[in-house]
Amino acid sequence: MSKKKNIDKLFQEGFKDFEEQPPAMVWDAIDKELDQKKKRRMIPLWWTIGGIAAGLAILLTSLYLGIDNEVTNKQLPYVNSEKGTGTQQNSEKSLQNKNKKTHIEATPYENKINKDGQLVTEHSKINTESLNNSSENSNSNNKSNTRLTTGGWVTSGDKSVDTHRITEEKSKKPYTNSSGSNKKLHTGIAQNSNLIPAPKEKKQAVLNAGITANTFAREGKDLENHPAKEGVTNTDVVDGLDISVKDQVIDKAIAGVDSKKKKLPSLEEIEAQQQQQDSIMDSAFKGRWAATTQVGPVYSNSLSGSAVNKEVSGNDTDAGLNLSYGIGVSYELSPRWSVRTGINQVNMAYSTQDINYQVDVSIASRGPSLPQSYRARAVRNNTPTSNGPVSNDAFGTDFAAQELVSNQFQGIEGEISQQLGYIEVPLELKYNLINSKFKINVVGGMSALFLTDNVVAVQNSSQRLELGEDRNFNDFNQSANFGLGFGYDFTNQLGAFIEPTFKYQLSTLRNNVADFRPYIIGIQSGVTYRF
Amino acid sequence: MVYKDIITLCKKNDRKAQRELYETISPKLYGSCLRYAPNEAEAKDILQDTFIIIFEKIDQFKFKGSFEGWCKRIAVNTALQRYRGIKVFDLVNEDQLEDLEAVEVEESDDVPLKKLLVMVQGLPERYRLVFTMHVMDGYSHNEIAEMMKITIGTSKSNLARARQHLQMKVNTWREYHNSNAS
Repeated sequence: MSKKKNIDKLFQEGFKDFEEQPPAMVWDAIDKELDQKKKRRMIPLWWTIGGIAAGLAILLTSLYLGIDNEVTNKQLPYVNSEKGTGTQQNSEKSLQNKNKKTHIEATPYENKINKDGQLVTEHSKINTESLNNSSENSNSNNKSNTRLTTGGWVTSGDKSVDTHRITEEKSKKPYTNSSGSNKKLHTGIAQNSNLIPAPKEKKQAVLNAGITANTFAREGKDLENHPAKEGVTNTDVVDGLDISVKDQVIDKAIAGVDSKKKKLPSLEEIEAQQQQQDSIMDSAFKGRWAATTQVGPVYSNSLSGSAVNKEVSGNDTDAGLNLSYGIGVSYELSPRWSVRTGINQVNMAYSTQDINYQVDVSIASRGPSLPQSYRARAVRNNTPTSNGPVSNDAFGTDFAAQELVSNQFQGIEGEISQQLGYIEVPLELKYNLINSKFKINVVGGMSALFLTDNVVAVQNSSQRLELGEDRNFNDFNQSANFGLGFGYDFTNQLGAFIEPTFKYQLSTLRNNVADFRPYIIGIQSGVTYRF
Repeated sequence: MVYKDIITLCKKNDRKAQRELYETISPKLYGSCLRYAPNEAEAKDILQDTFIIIFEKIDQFKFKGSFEGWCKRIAVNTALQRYRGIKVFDLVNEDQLEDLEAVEVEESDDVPLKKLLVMVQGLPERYRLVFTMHVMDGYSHNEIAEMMKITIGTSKSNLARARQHLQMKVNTWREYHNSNAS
């Protein structure tokens, strides 16, 4: 009896630990495909980062411009108030009100612009309607083709010939045959009512093309049968035109796709070049140190709230414009990544407008030097009382303590300015988006801020009263930093840069009662030396 | 684990490490691909696709379990994806076929491996896949049904059909071989 064995076993045993060396070409193909994948992956990544950077830049710019506008707006009443007399307070107020009004009026103005825009659109609609009418008229009148031309269809010189041709053809042939001229007619319309956006029209044309393709043929027949039919409105004409433009649109779409296709490899080429550069740089990479010095303006403001107290948290605030300067050191972790730190002196100021500082009369009466210490509770909203606060005249150069003790004195009005100086020690990570002679990079990190100067002052147009420190500010706080840097390397060692940064401050106040959320926007520029 | 360092480097897209990994495991995977594919050319394609996926997804390998097993599963899935859509032309109601596990052949190890491979490769698409998965790679009918999006019954009947085909082929080869030898 012959030994029998399950067929499964035959194959199982046969293929147990079955291995086969694949041909060498397989790896080559994998290698190539991996390269391509890397390229494909790198492009969206680049675009993503680029997009984030662009977004950040827009945000910073808008914030920056917003602050800038605020500064100019707020300066107006301030300057005007200097002209005031005894009734300055009121006049100042009215001026401020006026200013506010102007501000309010600005919105309707914008609306007006919008309305204008609408008007323009309406206008164009009217144009189109008039075109409709004219075409309807000409058709309903059942007049000759020249009538259609005079009807205002196409007024731009040479096009009238085309129109003429169209209408001639229309009377003889089905509508479809006049497609060539229709194209031109369509262009003519677009030119006449040039406020109708062309791309939209084309889109519409594409949309209409499919839908109206069948109906058009029917309409064409109708036209043939009833060449002088009254019902031939502009809509029909436009539909017809859409069909006739179809080819043109398709051609353009194809051309568009082609051009995109042509563009794509070029992007890949750039990416490939970059990769090549990267790989060269990677292989030749040796971590380098760089030292920087930088200086630039800093705008400090808060997203909301007040550093003073709740009562005035709704008051207008002013952006403080100050200077920041310092030195830094950075180390390249890779050709694209680097880490940096340094030391900067940063000054900030937060001003709250329209306040009335209630001077402690008992202390003030002791002498003309006014040895006041700052109390946040003494800051009130500037609301007129029956007695009326001290006038700017009284708070002038000849201001004397006697006036403070008088019953008339209610406080000092103006703005309260909190001026702070910090030593900033940042720790930031930088990524080079573009790593050539010209550099674009994104920066993110944290800063430690050590409070060095702290002065609170109440001031108005003519006087400034320093009130010492605001103890509510922490001696140490932090900020979260984001930045976008642009750099240029003059030589291998020396370069210059400009870097707009946004720094959001954390735990600035010991007791943050009025939801104070300060931030700093700085535009640092400086030089870099690599060694 | 032997692969640990290489895998770590592969996760960083280190091309040298990828090459090394390829050199190490490609013979085993190619062996699998050859059994799942109808011919060498397709086996090469499957192998290539498999490695691309391995390198793309290597981040997902968390060093739990066998790396070779993980790679082999990818290879099988790649092969299945390639042929899953292809229907077997056999119109017999497959669910009604009996499981012919008892197909027996004369024991002899005379059939060379290359011939066996050609026989497997020559099976109709789904028979080949089911047979290879079940008999050589130890997948259950449940798993096969799930992976190939077929019913368990279909899987079983495909296996039975595959066995019949193979038995015929083995027998034919033997007859031919024996007649030539005698």
